[in-house]
Amino acid sequence: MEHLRFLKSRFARGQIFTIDALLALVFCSIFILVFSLAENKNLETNLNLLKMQKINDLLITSQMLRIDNINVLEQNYLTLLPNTCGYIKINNARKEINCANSKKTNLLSNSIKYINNSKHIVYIEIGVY
Amino acid sequence: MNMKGQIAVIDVLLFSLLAVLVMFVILNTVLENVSKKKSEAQGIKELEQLLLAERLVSDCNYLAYTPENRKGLCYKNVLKDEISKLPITELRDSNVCLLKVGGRVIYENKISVTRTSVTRGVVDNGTFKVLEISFC
Repeated sequence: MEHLRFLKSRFARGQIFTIDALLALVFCSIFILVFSLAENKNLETNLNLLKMQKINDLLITSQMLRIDNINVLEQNYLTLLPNTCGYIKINNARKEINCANSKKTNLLSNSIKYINNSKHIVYIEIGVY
Repeated sequence: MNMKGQIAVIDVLLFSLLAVLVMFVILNTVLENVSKKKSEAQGIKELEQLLLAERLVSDCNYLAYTPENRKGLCYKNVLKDEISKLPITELRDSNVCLLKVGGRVIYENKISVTRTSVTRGVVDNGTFKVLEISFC
């Protein structure tokens, strides 16, 4: 009888150890879940900000220099964004640049309208993937 | 081995296994947190560099052009580099190594190790040029 009681107490102590460890695991899982929800996206945001700044640079400089020729704008695009897939549009003419074999996701674009030297409205749109 | 021994061994093994698992999970979380903090600090540093680049092309006190008859108004992205007026101390504090418009160097620090570089499009002497800002 005494032997059986001894076995029971050992078994009960083991169960307590195991339950304790399982509870710790559950606690740690919740801890990880909470932290992983606040995932850091700073670097991606900075990259998008820089892309947007470059798009705006191209638009502002185009207005300053009264650019209305798509080939001149393409040249400027290639100087500033040499390896980035995107498109440029001046009025109805549209050209894709560096887009061979590249995925077109996460488009960032902006546009501008200005009056050129010939008093015509020029619409310029630039998009970067 | 009698039954008492068997129970004791299984108990110890199971407890050890779970203890190792718990330790692994805790270590993993701590390391992940450390790397996240590092990446956040890197992100903030990059953002500061982007803001400095923005000031260089749009702030009158930097490289942006201020026409004499319209003081207070800067032409964004139009440069008129006057090296004597450049805030050298501020550039040095922001770890700027090199300022280059097209192929022309405007400012150069003696430190040769360049880590990152930001490029912006500007108008310089009536033509489109790339302003390159390199940080050490």
